[in-house]
Amino acid sequence: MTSVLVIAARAVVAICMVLLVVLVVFDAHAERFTAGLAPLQFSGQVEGDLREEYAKLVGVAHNAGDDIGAAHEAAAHGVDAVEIDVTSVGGELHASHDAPVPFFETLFFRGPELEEAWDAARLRDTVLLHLKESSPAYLEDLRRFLSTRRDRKLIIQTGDARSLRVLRRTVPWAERLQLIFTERDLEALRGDAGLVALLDGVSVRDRLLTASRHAWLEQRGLKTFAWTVNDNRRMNELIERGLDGLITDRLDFMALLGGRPELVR
Amino acid sequence: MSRRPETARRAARDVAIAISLVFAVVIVGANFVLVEVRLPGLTFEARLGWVILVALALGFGAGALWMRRAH
Repeated sequence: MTSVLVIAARAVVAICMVLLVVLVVFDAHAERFTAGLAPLQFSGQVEGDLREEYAKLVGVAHNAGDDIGAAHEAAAHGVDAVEIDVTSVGGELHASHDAPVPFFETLFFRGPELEEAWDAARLRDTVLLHLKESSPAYLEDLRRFLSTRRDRKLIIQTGDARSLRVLRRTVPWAERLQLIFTERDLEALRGDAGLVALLDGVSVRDRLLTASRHAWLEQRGLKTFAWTVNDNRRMNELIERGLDGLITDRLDFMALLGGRPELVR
Repeated sequence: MSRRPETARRAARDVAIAISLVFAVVIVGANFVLVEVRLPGLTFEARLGWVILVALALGFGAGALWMRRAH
């Protein structure tokens, strides 16, 4: 009995030592599971001609709602909309890019509650929610949360078609965007007329958004948002094609798109 | 006959170490937030969990040393 206890204790010691070493070596990764992923907002040098069309499309601060400081910074730069990643942590809605450690969420997780993120995001006219889950309980929590917050324009993006169908019924005032992560997602959308009819638009990974695909989306009356665009020339190219929303980490792009060019160096 | 208490004592020590390390992991994980630590003449950023752990280890070490000298 004693020897079993010793072996078990030593196994626990070994596991704990490994965990402590992992926490030291993979510090940044570990932070994602305890505080979510902090958005990396930055400014750069804007190159080339500035366009008059900037103010016509919606500039979105990528993941900025996951960090209250980043949301405030984006709002100060005049961004049109703040994106919040919505995760359920211990039955409560939070703003976090990554799901926290399972079973230990309430102990380890430090990311902001959705309510805090919303209060920061509502400094601007539009809030964009990126749904990270799709369970019925999660969607019901979201409906309840949003039912008392109808003072801002709301855009919801998710990769789950079933969630979009539920949201059309439960949160009808929101714009619904289908997230496109891969070419396969795009092909699936092309072959699903019912899904196209359900959508207000799509939110597409930048590298997938070729001119022909963009034209196809426009022909079907779908708004097009692109993520994550941090390149000046690419931004101008997409604007020329008639992009509707641009999700970016760059504070100077947010200022341009938000109609505050004086903030751009 | 004299081996049994020694084995039991060793098992108790191993279990105590295991429990301490579990607490260490929980403390570090639950306080994995960057804070500015200000000491006289020295200011640096560190995870709160590590700061707590180092303070606990120093306190434990000082207490153990004091006990050993007292005996």
